[in-house]
Amino acid sequence: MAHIHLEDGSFSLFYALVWWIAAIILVGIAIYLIRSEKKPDRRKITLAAFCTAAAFAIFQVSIPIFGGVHINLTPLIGILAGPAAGSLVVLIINILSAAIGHGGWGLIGANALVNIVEVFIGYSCFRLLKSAIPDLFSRAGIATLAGLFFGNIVMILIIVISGIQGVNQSSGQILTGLSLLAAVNMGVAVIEAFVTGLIVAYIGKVRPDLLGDDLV
Amino acid sequence: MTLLGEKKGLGIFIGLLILMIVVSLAAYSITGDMGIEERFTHALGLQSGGDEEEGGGWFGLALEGSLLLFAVVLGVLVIACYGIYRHFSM
Repeated sequence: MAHIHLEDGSFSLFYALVWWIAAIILVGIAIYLIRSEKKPDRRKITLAAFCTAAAFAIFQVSIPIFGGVHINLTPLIGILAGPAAGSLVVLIINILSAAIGHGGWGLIGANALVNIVEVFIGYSCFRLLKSAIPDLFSRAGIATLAGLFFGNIVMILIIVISGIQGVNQSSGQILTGLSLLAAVNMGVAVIEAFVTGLIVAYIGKVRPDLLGDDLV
Repeated sequence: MTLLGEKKGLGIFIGLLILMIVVSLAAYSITGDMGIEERFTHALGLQSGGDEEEGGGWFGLALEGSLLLFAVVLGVLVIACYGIYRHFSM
């Protein structure tokens, strides 16, 4: 659920470009990995398309707790579509969101990086915890919490490294403010973890093949 | 799946949930009730209020709120996507 809710011009042009380039490199690697597969996985492509539509829609819904927040479903995207397709999904969601005024155009790169981390950590945790936690609901929930936690850390790092134009606060003050913001975000991560756990458990019950044979 | 394995996972998950709720409620009580954008503004010490931001944008160019620039950027994206699609679909 980490997302940099700042306007265009908050980052300097240099840092906006740096994060854009970093995101393009990661997405380029993802595209390369997808294209290097001998046989395209049509099931995963379909899942990725559904994830894009569902996550974009839920991205725009403000949940009236802690003053109004939204969930991302990024770890769920990682679990269902995998990190390579998931990286493309979050880039598309961020572009479409910027088109309707949710996040600036210049921040798409930074936001895509944050979300790619959430996708990757969500997917990796879900995969690595398979033998330790066989239960799909709790495994998906824990993977979601881990993904969103690291997403918040990356969000803080990006903002602290970039600095904000026209702000006189020290890095320490910004770090304190953002840490509190991230802590509130993790309260919303509880809801997202619960929702992701329920969705993954349900899919595991009715269509376990969608999760991949090695993940159930 | 064993019942013990299921309970262990659920126990860890519930433990993490409780920890997150406690931490977030503590942070919420410090920061107070505000929307996500307002929370960002407050955390970074940005000036809030006013219809248009002052000094925002690059070289006086602000994309937000400019319908023409939105259309131009979207148009460029559509053309780029079409070009990439044509290139890779060959």
